[in-house]
Amino acid sequence: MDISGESEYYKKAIRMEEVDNAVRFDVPVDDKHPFFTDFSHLRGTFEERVLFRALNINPKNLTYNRANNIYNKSLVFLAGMRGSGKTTELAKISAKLHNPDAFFCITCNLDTGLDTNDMEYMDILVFQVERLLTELKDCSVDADEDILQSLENWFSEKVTEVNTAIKREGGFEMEVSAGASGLLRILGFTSRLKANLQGSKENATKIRTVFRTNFTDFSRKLNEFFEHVNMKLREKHLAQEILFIIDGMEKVATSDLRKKIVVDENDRIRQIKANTIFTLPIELMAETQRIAQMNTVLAFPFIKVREKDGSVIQSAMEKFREFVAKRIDAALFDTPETIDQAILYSGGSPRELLRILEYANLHATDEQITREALEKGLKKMAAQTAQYITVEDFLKLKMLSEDNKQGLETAVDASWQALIEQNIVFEYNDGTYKRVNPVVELSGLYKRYVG
Amino acid sequence: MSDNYAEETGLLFKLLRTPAFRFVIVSFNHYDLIHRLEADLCSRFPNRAVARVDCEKDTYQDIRARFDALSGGFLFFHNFQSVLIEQRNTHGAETPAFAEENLRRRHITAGLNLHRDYWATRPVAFIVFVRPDSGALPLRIIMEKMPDLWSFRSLILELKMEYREEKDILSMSDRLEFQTVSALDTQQQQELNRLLDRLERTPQEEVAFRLTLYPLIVDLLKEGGNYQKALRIVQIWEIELPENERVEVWRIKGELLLRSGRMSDALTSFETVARYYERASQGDPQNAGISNNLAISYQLLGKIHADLGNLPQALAYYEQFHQLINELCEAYPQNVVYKRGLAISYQFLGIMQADLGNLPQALAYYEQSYQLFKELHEAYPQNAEHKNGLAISCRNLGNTHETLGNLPQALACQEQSHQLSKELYEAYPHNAGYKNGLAISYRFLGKIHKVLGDLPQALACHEQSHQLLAELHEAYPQNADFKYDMARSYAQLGLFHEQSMANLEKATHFYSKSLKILQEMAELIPMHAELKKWVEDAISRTGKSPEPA
Repeated sequence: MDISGESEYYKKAIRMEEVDNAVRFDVPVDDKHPFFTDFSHLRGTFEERVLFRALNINPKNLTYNRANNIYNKSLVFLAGMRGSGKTTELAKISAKLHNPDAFFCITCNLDTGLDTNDMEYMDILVFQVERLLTELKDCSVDADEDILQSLENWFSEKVTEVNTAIKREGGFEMEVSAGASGLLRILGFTSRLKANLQGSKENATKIRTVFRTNFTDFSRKLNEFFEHVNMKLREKHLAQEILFIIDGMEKVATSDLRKKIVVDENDRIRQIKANTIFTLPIELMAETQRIAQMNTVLAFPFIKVREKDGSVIQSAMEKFREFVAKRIDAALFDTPETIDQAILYSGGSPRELLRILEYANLHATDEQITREALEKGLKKMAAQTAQYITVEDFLKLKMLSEDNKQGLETAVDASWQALIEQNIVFEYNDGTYKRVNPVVELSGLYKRYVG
Repeated sequence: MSDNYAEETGLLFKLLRTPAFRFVIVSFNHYDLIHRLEADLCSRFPNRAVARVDCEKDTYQDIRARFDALSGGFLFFHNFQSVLIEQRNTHGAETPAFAEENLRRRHITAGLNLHRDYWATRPVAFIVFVRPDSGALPLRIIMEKMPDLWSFRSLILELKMEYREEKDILSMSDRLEFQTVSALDTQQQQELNRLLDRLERTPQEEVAFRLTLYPLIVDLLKEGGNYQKALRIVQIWEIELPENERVEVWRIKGELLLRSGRMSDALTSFETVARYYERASQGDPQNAGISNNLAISYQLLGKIHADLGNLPQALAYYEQFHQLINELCEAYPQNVVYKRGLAISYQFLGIMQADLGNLPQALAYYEQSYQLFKELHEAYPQNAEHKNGLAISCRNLGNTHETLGNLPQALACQEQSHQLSKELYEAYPHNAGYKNGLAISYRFLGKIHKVLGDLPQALACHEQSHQLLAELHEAYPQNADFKYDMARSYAQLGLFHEQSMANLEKATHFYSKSLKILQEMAELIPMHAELKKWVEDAISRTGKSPEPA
């Protein structure tokens, strides 16, 4: 399964000019890709089998126990820091679970499918339906006519309602006619809806208002449709049920917007009866846990490369060496120690490590990435990151650093959120262990305020 | 009704014998008292000029101009309490519109205070009327905001009269206002048939799919007013669910029973729901979803106890509802659902206080609700529910102002409410809830027109209301609320013809119609029984026999 459509262009760098492309951190890779490195068992409390249990999957034979989910579907929030490898892990899990005894996995990447600057849960739901219909079409799964007709009637009615509102203000109306047969009719509606949600702000607001006002109705219609599809999937021996994987929530533009979707709209999310995994920005983990008893929230932490006392964790180092070796030929580094140094400064974040290697490469000679180039790169990164940290925040970092030295846990409140969001503070385990991003520690400002 | 008017005003009349600058603060609990005071002052001092300012609208410049035009006499300051508080939205923020308004208010208090010596140059008595809403301490605020003028105060009067909002059975709070019902159109009827057919065709073992059908079917049956069939489907639905998944079904069942007029069964259902969420909340007190569900179940219990006439019990549940939803709003200030819930909770608290005769407190609650719905309506002008909430807030505010004797304000509120209800009905002509809302707004408009003496207008409003209710009753014969409303509307018309038109024959005709409906009602809850008794008394008052059924 090729997630990005670009993965094939990624190959191991054996020449210096190929490093740039090999360390790109903006495109995720799936478990079939040569770059894929399995970090299982190195993520503190997170284990694949815990996620499987939350989804009612037997970890031994990867079969879904449908009887357990007749009355309620699984809703799992996977909370992790940016760059911790959630997308890659989910791609691996999706590949494992996409089978006749388990799920029909539908991955919805919010950053590629929707406008991350302006998004509501309603948009995500429309996107989910569109993605499901597309995948069903590709697998030649159709739905019964009466169900489709009912959905079509409902969408037509709502589109007419939206158009009435648009018309009042002289805007451009949405097309109503579906003009196709089978699932394609509904796909036509969802595609147009999604396009309009990404179009003018005025129209998007009107669409959302109509759908929000009729949400209970909408959710019930969708629940009927999803469950009908589940029956069809079983009939065709394709899967037992649908599993939506909603990825990219942390790419939604602002923390307010993210919070609005996950926390404020949690009741709506819960009304949709379909197995779903949401990736969750780490800062919303506690609140998501609190908002509804039924939410399963799993932490997906960074990989610890050092213990609290500073000692290096060799098993993690080994995996990261493998991670680097899959992307850059060892001959392109002056010594293996340079690679280790880069790994230690990454703090256990695969994405941060790629960024460090990118910066080192910028400062490298034509032949090799040397220790000197790495240090120059790190300094540059440190200076760039530290300049956005306020004095007040430096005092927090100081407190964190001192607490860690004494083996104490630091109490954090909402004011730490931005530091975690911006990867200035890293979290490990289930959030109980925090430390300052090692790159930040290199900055002059950090040394001045923290010491 | 007894009052302290004579006792309190004696000193004032004595004081005013000598023309001089005076600063008199009059606190009052009913507008009749200040109307009486104004009239008495004019008749006792016929040669003195009179000017008025309305502190809710006028600016400091207006006050100055009216003062300058007087060489002596009285300057009455109406609604002075409004300049004593600063407007903030429910998040405590000053919106641009509020900032402008607060500036106008500050200019008045600061200007009055600053120019104390200027006012004192003329023999003008400032008579400042302050309505002490519950919770506010107006005199203390005057002292703080206008210390110089305060030091010139001549007299403080506290006019009080005993009043009790007469339990007007014909104007008691309406029950369906926050709910919506629509007549089924052909497409909806086809959809209902499709779903029922699907349910029949779906094997018992496909439980998950069957469970998606039940809420769709019950919703349509409920919308179409077919509560008996809906209750039968709910019974099957309930059986297919394990015990721990049934709570939502119990709630829906309670609503259906309520609408069918089976109050005691509905009460049992809602109590089961509340106990379930109480247990869940004890297990997870921080959980917002559970708290919200618990809050809603308290709201339903409050409502049903109010309908059953158990006011203390109803008030206790409404207070619990309010407390929970208020906590949720504080924890999630951006959550629109909780904010709307809070606005509704203030409505119910207001209704309770009004029923208990505490009108200033009721008014304060209605104003809080109005403010919240106004913010919601401004933020989401397309949202019909918020608009409806605003219409209801205006209506309750208007009704309370009417009881307090503030008739211009009452009329303004009822007109605003009516306009909003009319817009809603025009936008959603098939929605029975909004149609019912329009009928109610006509009724309240008719009521205030009658109080203002405009009988033709009042009758026209009552007839419009009746027409809408008759259509609703015809479309939803199983709906207990519409049936009751119809009986009440007939009684209202009867009363109008009896009292305002002295047409006893016509009055008896309408009373008889009302009685017939009430006799047909399945379960007579106290409110229905009270109306029935009222109608029977009205018929005997006319001295005529009721028309045969």
